[in-house]
Amino acid sequence: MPVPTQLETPKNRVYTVLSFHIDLVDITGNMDVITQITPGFVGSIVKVYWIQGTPAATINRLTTLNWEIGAADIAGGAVALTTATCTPMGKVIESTAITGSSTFDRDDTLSLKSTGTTAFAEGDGYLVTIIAMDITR
Amino acid sequence: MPIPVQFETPRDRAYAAFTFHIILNDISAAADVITQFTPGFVGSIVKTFFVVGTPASTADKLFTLTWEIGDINVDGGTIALSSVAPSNCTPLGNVVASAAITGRNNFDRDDTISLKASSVTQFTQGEGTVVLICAVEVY
Repeated sequence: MPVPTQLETPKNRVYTVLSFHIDLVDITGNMDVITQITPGFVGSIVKVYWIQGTPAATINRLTTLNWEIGAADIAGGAVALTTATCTPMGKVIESTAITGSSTFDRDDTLSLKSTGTTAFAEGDGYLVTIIAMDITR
Repeated sequence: MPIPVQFETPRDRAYAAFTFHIILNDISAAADVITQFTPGFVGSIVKTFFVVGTPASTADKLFTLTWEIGDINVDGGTIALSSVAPSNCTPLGNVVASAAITGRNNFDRDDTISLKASSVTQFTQGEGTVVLICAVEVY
């Protein structure tokens, strides 16, 4: 019997946050930055952004970070970091819009990958990921 | 009107994730790494792991992290970090799972949670993020 509308729990109305501190100099190429964490619940990635800590100063350095669920990139959600944007401290760098392939199951893994990397010489910050949980599953 | 049983949302299906950035060489001896934070909700610790940031390169360093609710250790859930070959503190992004959590992992609204280090041979470099996933009792 279907659940009457007035008793339905709204989907995706509970959120949690994963934030990871990253030293930019540790990203030396196109590589895994986080390899296969398993949140252990059903959810979807709804927002990603970077908060700059120590600014990057050496010019012409860059990398792009994107989440992957299992072996598939999420559609959108890429965070493009460059020396020019990685300053001053506290700067928030939004990802591109998340347009799909962002839902994961209880046993799915999430990985963070870097691409288009010219290694930074300094700088760090936090990658913040907002996850909507499906509390009905 | 109360929600009929068949329409209830199962308990413990909402989760909260806490992340804590840790510099490995700040842990110089068996000591608190996090001292008594209060989540402020009823829940249970269901998963914890460590994600390597800056790798540790000097060999033979180690410690173990244990969660504590109030003054009582959680059963299981320990995270053993070690640069003893084969090191689990490298490469960037490596995920170090905890031991299985087997009990004493429930906390109340006013309970405190602490993270303790033990069996420490001090690291000389390295950092990462401890992730703590808690199931939240939503009603």
